[in-house]
Parts: sequence; C-alpha cells; structure tokens
Amino acid sequence: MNLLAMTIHLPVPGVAAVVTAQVLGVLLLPPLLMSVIAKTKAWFGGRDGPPWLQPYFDLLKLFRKGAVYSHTTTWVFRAGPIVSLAALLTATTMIPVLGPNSWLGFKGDLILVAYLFALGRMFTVLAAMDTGSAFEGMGSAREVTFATMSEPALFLCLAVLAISTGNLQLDDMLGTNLAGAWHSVGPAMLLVVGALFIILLTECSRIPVDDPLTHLELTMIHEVMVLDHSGPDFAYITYGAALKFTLLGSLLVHAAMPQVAWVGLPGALLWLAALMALALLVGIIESTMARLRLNRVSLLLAGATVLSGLAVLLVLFNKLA
Amino acid sequence: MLAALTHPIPDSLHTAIDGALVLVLLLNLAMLATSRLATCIRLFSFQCLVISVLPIAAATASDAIGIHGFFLMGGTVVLKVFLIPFILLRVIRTGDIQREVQPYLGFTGSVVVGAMMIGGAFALSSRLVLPGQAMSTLLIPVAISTLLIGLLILVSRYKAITQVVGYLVLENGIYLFGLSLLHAMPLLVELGILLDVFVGVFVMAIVVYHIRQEFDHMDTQNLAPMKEPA
Amino acid sequence: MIFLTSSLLVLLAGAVLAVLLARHGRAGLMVSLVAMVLGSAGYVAAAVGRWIDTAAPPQRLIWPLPLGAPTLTIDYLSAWFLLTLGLLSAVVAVYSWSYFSVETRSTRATASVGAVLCLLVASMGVLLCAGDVILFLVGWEMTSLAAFFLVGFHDEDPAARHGAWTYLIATHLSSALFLVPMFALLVAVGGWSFAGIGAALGVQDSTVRVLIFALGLAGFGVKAGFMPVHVWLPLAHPVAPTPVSALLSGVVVKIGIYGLLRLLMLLGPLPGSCGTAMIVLGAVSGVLGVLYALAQHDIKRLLAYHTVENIGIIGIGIGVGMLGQTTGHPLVALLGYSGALLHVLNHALFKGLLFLSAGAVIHATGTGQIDRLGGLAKKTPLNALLFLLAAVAICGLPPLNGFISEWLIYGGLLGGTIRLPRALPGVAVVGLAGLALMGGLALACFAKVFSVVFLGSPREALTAHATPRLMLGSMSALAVLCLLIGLAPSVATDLIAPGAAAFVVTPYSTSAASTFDAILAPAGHLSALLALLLALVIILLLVRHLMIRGQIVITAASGRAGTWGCGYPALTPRIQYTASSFAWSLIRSFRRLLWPHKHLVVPAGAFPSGDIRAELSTHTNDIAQTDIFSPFFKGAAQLAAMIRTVSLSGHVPTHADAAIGEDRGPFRTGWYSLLSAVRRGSIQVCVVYVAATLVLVFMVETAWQPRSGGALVERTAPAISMSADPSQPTARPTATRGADELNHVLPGATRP
Repeated sequence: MNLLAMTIHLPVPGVAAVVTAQVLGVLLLPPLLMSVIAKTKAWFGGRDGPPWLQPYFDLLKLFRKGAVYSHTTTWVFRAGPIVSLAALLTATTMIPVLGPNSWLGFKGDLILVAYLFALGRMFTVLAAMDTGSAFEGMGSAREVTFATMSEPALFLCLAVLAISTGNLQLDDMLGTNLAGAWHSVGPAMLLVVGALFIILLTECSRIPVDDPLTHLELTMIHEVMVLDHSGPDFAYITYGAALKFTLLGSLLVHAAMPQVAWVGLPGALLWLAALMALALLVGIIESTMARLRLNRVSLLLAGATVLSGLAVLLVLFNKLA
Repeated sequence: MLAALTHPIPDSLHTAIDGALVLVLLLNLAMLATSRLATCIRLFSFQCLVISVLPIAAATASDAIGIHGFFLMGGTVVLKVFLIPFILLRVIRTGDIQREVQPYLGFTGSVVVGAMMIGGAFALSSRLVLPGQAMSTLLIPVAISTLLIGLLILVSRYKAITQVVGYLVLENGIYLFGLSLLHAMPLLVELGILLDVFVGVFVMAIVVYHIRQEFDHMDTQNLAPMKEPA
Repeated sequence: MIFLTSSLLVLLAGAVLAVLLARHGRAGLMVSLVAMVLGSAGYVAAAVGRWIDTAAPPQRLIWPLPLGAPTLTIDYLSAWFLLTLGLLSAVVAVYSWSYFSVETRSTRATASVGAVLCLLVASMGVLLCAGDVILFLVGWEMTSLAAFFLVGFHDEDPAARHGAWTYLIATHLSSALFLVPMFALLVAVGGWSFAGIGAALGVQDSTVRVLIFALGLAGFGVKAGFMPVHVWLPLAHPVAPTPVSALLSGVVVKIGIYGLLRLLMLLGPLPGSCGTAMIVLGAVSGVLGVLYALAQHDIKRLLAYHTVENIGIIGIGIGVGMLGQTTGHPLVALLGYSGALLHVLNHALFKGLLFLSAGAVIHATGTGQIDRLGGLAKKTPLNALLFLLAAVAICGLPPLNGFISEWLIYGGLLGGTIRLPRALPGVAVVGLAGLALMGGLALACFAKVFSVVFLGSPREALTAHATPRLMLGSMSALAVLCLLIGLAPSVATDLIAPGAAAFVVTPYSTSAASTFDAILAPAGHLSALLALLLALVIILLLVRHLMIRGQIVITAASGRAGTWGCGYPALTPRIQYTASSFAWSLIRSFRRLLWPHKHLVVPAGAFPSGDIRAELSTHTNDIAQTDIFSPFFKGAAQLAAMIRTVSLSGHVPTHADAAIGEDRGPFRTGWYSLLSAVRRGSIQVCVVYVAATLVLVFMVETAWQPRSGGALVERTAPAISMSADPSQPTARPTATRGADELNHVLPGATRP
C-alpha cells in the first residue's frame, strides 16, 4: 500500500520562504509573458502598447465583476473554467519553469502532464457546447480537431526526450540532462524543438493557427469558445491560457537549452529572460505572419508530427548504430 | 597518409554532415508540402546545393577523394543548382503554366506517405549491409528516402513539370547513394550520370514547352485520351 | 473455491427456477436476477480469496465426469477476470430489474431472459476457472449460445435477428477455423490439462508456438473484436437490450482477451515478431475503432466501436508485455501486462456505465439517435453526471480509472523505447503514437456525445421521463468504483501485480513482489497529485464563490436571447452544432482512412419550389464489412447459388446474375480505378510501375551484392557496414581497409 508514499521533505523555515517565493514567482509570471507578446505586437505596429501590468489589471477587474449565465447552461458550464485551471495548476507542479527542477515530479509524470492538458481542454469544450451556440460549437469542433492532431506530435517529442535521457520524469528529461543528446544527435533535437514550437502555437491558439485578436467569430478557435464566460470565470480562463503558454514554453525552453544549469535566484532570472525571449519570438511571428487557412493548419500539424517522428527515428537510429 | 587514414573525423564535422542530411530530408518533405511550382523548384535547387557540399565534407572526412569530390561538386552546382532550375523556371514563366502544383494525393496525405517512406527507408537501411565506408550512418537511409520521395512526387502530381522535379529528386537520391561508394566509383561514371540527367531535363523541358505550345495545357491527365483507341 | 462452486450452483438454480416460475408474473425475473447478484457476489468473494490466501497454491476441484476429470482452478489471472465479471454482472442484474420491468414483452420472455443471463454469467465463470481444454471449450460454447439468445431478445426486429446471427456465425467460424486447430495442436502437444500443456510447450520449438499463437490470436481476436474481425460488435451491441450490451462489451468480449492471455501464459516468451504484430494490431484496432465511433450517429453503435478501440488499447498493453517478456525486461513486461489487465477491469466498469447510462437516455426519450437529443442534463442531471464521469474515464483523463491503465501502458511503451534492443523501440514508438492519437480522438468523440446529448437545448420536443432510482443507484456503484481506482491506483496495482508477474516469473514470490511494488510505486505519487487536482478544484470554486458575492445574473428563458449569438438575436435549438457537424472536420481530415459518404440535396434555381428542402447527411461504412466480409460472403453465396443452379438445371449463371458492387469499399474502388487507369494508359501509373520495378531491382541488388560479390568483405570488416557509430571514428587497421577497398573495385581480388 503506497497510497501516500509521497516523499515531501518538510522544509525548514528558510527553505519555506524560498519555496513560497518560487511558487509565487511562477504563478505571477504568466500574465507578464502575455504582456511581452502584446508589447511586441504594439511595437511592430508603431504603437506604445498597453502598460506592462495591463494583464494583471484585467484579471483584477474581471475578479471584481459578477457573472452572467445563459439559461441554456448547466453546472457543466460553470465547472469548465474551474476544472481547466485546476488541471493546469496541477501540471505546473510537474514542469520546471524558473529552475531546473519541478516541485512534485515523479517517474511517469510526463503522461500525467499531457493528460491534464487534455482534461482542461475537455472541460473547456464541454462548457462551450453547453451554451448551445453554433459559434461556440464551431470553435469546439476546431479545437478538438487540432488538439487531436497535435497530440501524437507531443508524445513523440516526449519520447525523444525520454529516449535520449533514459528517464521518465519531466525535469530529469530536460536541461543539462539533454546535453549528451544535443552533442550526439543535434539535428534530432532541433527537430524536437521545432515540433514543440508548433505544438505551443497550436495549443495556445496563437498565429498562424488561430488569431487571438480577430474580431470575426467565424475564424476563431479558442476565443469563440469562451464568448459566454464572464467575471471570475473569464479571469480563470484568461489566466489559464497564459499559464498554458508558460508551461509549454518552459518545456520548449528547457529542451532547447541543454548546456546551462541555471539555479538559484540568478538562474530564475535567466530562465525568465529565456521565456520572455520566447514570448518575444511569438510576438514577432504574430506581427509578421497571417493566420493560415484552416485546411493548411492540418498540414502544419501533420508537419509537426512528421518532424517529431523523424526525430524519434534519428535518435533510435543513432542508438542502434 | 597512414596518419590521415586513422585520423578520427571531428565531431563537429559529423554533426554538420548529419545536419545537412536531415536538411535534405526536410527539403524532400517541404517539396511534398508546397503548393507552388516555383517554390518546389527553388526547394529542389537548395537541396542540390546542400547535396553538392557533401562530397567536400566527405573529402575532409576521409582522404580518399581528393580532386574527384571537387569535380563532382562543381558539376552538381553548375548543373543542378543553377542551370536546371533556371530552365524549369523559364518554362513556367514562358509556358504560361498555372502556378499551382495540383496533386493527385492531397498535400497532407503526401507528407504522411513521405514520412512513412522515410520510416521504411530507415528500416530497410538498418538491414542493408553495404560495402564501403559511408561518411555518415544517415547517408544510406537519406538516399533511399530521397529516391522514394522523388518517385512519390513523380507519380502523385498531374503536371509534367512536377514530374520533371520528381525525376530530378529521384536522381538526387541516386547521387547520394553514389556518395557512399565515392572512392569506388570512377569519376567518368559520375560525370556520365550528370550529363544524362542534364540531357534528360533538357529534353523534358523542350517536350513540356512544346506540349504547351500545341495543346494549351500541361496536364498529363489530358494526354491520356490522345492514345489511339484499343 | 467453495464460493465459486456455490455461485455456479446458485446461478444454475436461478436459471431453472426462473423457467419454472415463468408463468407467475415477474417472479421468474426476480428470482433469476437475485441469483445473478448472489452468484456475482460469490465470484467476487472467490476472486478476493485468491489474494487473501496468497500462500495457498492454485486449488483444484476434481469432478468425476466421463470425459476425463475436468478441473476448476483459480489462479491470479482467473481471479482478476472473475472479479471483473462479478462486479459488472452484479450491477447489471440490479439495473436489469428496472430495465425489464418496463419491457412490453410477456413475462415469460423476461423470465427467460433472466434465466439466460444467469446461464451466461455461470458459463463465463466456468470458462474463466477452467483448468483444462474441455471445460474451457464447454464454457466458451455456452457463453456464445447464451449471448446469442440475449442479443436476439427483440426477435421481432430484423436488425436484432441480423445482429444475433452475425454474432453466432462470427464466433463459430472463428472457433471452427482457428480455435479447434489450435486446441488440437495444444492437446497433441501436452494433453488436456492446461498445466500439462504449459509444461510441454516449454520444450517446443518456436515455430510451433508461433503457429499456435497466430491461430489463437485469430480465433480469440474475433471474440475480442480486433479490427478486421470486429464486424459483429457494431451489429450486435446496438440491438441487444441495454443490460446485455453492457455485459457483452464489459465482459463477453473480454473472454477473448482472457483466452489470449491464458494462451500467452502457456506459451511463454515468443519471438519479437509476435509482440510487434500484437502492438500493430492493437494500434490499428484502436485508431480505426475510435474513428468509426466518431462517425456514428447512434449512441449504442458508437459505444460498440469504442469497445473496438479499448480492445486495441488492451492489445497494445499485451504487445508491450510480450516484447518485454521476449527480451527479458521485466519492467517493460510488467507495465504492459498490468496496464492491459487493469484496462480490462476499467473498461468493464466505465463502458458498462456508459452503456447503462445510454440505456437510461433511451429509456427516458425513446431514441438513441444522438442528433435528435439535447439538453438532457437539465432533465436527468444525475444520469448526465454519471455519463460525464464515464466519458472522462474512457478518454483516459485523470482523475478517473481509465487514466491509470493508460498511464501504465504508456509507461511500458516509453520504457520499451528506452530499453528494448534492436528495432523494437520503433515498434513501441508506433504504439505510443497510436495511443496518443486514440486519446485525442476519444476525447473528441466523447466531447461530441456528451455535449450533444446532454448539453445545450433539446433539438426535438422529446418527452424525457425521469430515470428510475434503481437504475441510477446501480450505475452510481460503477461510478464510485471508477473514482476509487482513479484516486487510489495503488489498491488496483497491488491486486494486479501477481497476475501480471505470472507472465514474467513463476512462481510469484515475495521478493519479486517487492521489486514490482517498487516499479509501480509512482502510483502512490499519482494519487497524491490527483488529490491535489481535486483540492484545487474546490479551492477555485470557493474563490469564485467569494469573489462573485452573489452577483450572478441568469438570463431568463422567457427574456431576450440567453446565449450570446454574436449579434444574432433569434437563436433556436436547430442552430446548435450537431454531432455530425462537430465530428465532420475530424472525419474529413481522416477521409483517406474512413471514406465517408456525403449526401447533399441542393434546391435548384433562383426560386426553388417549396417542397425541396436543402439537406446534408453523412455516413461512413465500415471498411472491414464493405471490403472484406461482404464481398467474401457474397462470393460464397454466389458460388453456392451457382452450384445449386448448375446441379438443378444445368444452367451456368453468368456474372450478371449476381448483384454485386453497389456498395464497394475504398479498397475495391481503388483497385478497380487502378485497373482502369492501367487500361487507359495513365502516365502516372506507368511511371509508378517502371520506377517501382527499378527501385526494387536496385534495392535487391544492393542488398544482395555483398553476399554475392564477396563474402570476404563481410567477414574481414564487419564494421564497415553502414551501421557504424558516427561518434566512433573509423579507426581500423589500414591493411583491412586496403583489402576491402580493392574488393569493391575488383570483387574477389584478394583472398584471405
């Protein structure tokens, strides 16, 4: 019976402060990254853009408001944002964000992380369908289609990381653990990073898969699914979207930077810089690219799957040789 | 001489060769995915450039090539990187060909089939026992996949011009295969192949141009009814 | 053992009494269902006894019968399946009471259904605990027959008769073609008892064992519903009464899995190709099963295709286990087998729950057509919750039980990619990608079903009756079990470990137990994190509650548009997305696998007349049926007709006599179009032919060259094969190199 055989080392007071700081840092980070993207897009458009703290103000504003529920909805609609955010917060404990280690990782946590993302998606989709609106139905159908196609790519990427490190715990599959793999099968690792980037853009509904700022509901994916949410529910959704970007971005950044073992406060700042650089890149892409036609998105996602599959092939071939 | 033979290939060079070969694979897939004829030809030209650098890398990796490799590279660059794409792009421009690719098999489908072919090529090459020392373990699988994908482009597109590209990609695969036997393959044979390819493309381009002149279109599908009745 | 025998006796007595009491109202049904509950409880007790009394060797009960002495034994594998059977059939028995009470058929019919249910459960119990071939086959046959009668319960419906007969023919063809030869081989090798066969097979040559495995896979595969031979499932499940569908999907198809696992246990490690075949078969079944499920419009048919998918998942698990067993990696083997075993139980629980819940929907509204339903969550809230729980579980999402078994199988696959030798990690990657794709597709499918049936507003004015309490109560039991396994996976993994370990090491010892506990230890971490998930849900709920402080506006049904319609004020339920439209973008993406048909009626002209309504419908035929079985059976029927006509009248029927080809599947269509392309002289086809031949010749040449050109090359310098490690530079003796270089130019120039 190892029901509660979890080894949590009770921290001494000093350590407790560090842990609290870490948790707070990670939880406060996501809106900042959204701000970086917004600023980048504003700069490209020749504007100053919203204040750096605008996403935080938006969240606070939403929390102070009430909520409107359509009479067609049931408890599923209200459960949607909560379950989605809870799933993402749980996933946060297993992904290294501002340091080389995760908080509660264990052997096999990568599968739990992937399926927690899926759980969040399931409830977002159900909440959207609960409104009985054709627009939200359309968004849900697209969301599940594209998510289905990016799922094998994500697992193949994770398989590459697992094979090259011989480990099944996310924080042991990233960062310095990958140094050897980058050395021996560098091209494969580049493919993985590329595939992870496409997955990031898809899962976080960014251009070229989805346009988060479009004003035509017919072309939206994620935004149209959450049209009917308001108040704190919408705050959860907005924060959840930012958190998802942070988590997938962390996976990407930690897979792409093998040589560095950044620890402690300076390390955290460096990881923060890396994440902000990623957000900058996404912002640049959003400013310079148009959204793809919907039927080309499936080609992009098939491309991501093929890239990651090729990476697996290269890694395995290297091991075989 | 002896020292050079036992001299280990530097790791960075290996990574570079592997990277170039993976790039060749990606360019193959990109050619399957693109919907523009001109893009397809430019991708092909880029693939030829990458491929033509490989003999030099091989020359650095093992000393047995020497001037042979440079001749190969020069020939490839002149012919395949510049001349052939130039001819093809000219045919597109002057032949007033519609600039889309028009596949039998959809783009996503082609990419998936291409990926399966790559998987098959890797599986096949892990069973092959070939003589000669390859510059990289990836050379043979990449060569086979390039060959197969060339074949796929050849058969899965309507337009005659894409079939020419498919034929050329197939030839690139054979060229890559030849690289694994570099020191065993006489220069003369190599040059002969290059000349063959050139003549082939030249003839095809002329044919394509004249098909266009005579029949106002380039779609091989519409050639079928011209056959005499059985 | 006393529990098992008394259960069997109770079940048989129940069946007999039900028939005797058939004239006395519902007493017959009542008696048989009570017997079923008692018998199931006995099964569970017998199974649990196996784990409590770990020290005891497998017990036997000798029956002095004329055909030798059949034995009943319970080992860990039997116990696990017995537990699955007992848990599900007890719930189904309770559910059946309220289901068959409202049945319009005569009480005699309901009494007989009770009797046959008892027989089904009893025969499966016999089969699972059979210690020898005869008893196994008796149980197998009785199960098939009982299931046949149950599927054909609504025999006034032609579809029900068709489903029942298809099932009977499929199961008997598989027995005749594959299982009988297989058992004949087994008996020839090692006698009648499984123990003797196991001992004798150990010394057999691997060709014989592979042959036996192939026969067993084909034979048991029909019952289990692996992909090309699954055709009976989507025909029989929808037409059977709901409790029967639940039993069919939950345990009857698992009999096939049990047979396969029992066979594997007897056969021991097989060559890697068998495990590879198993994984590929599982992946194909899973992906195609869930894709077909996505394309269905009938809820029970959809669930039937999901059974094919889940059997595929179990198949992948078994395949991983086999690979681990073959290559001597107990970790991989244990994760694979335990994942497969746990998924057997999990699937029985959540698929049983889904079928029962779907039955409650049909009971409430009178239809199982997904696109006619909608908004049921408001009318039957508890049923909606139960269906949602089961849907989350079947998608393999945390924190329910489906996730745990998929997690184990994923662990086995990833472990396999890391540890397996040679090209086998590639096989594991295929399984991994397949499982991931299945996960995504299952999510899409159940998001579709749940949201279209239970959410939004009703699409048609159907009256929804309340669901009977007894139905809800019995279903809740299954939901609780799903949650329990999901949140405390260690309980389940502890129970499975000995069963799964039996494939790897025999006998199961305490030292082995501790090793396996260590491997499955993360299950404990898992439950802690899932508890965290639930805690976070509660915290976020409280936070929202505090922040809103009662400022909730619920738009009135009577007032202006409730849902924001993007500026369009007159939203009606008909505007909602339907199941078909929800699934269409995915189905279109996979059209090369599914070949869906689209039927579109467009009104013509600028002012179309009022009687033509625009109409769009889609349907998807099963490739296995249109391309494999229906031409096969049509051909057979044609042949029979030909023989009959010739022998009776001397007239030889021409090809035109038989009506063929109106619903050709994609393979045949593709084949015919290829033939016609060749006849027309299509350039592409000719080029394919020429180039493929060239490439083939080229590859064969290169592959054979070293062997024909000079065996010397291989012998003197194996390192020159292209599998040389790039990180290890080619430092080889120069003499060898010179020799083999010479050999390339002039084969055979140097001799050793």
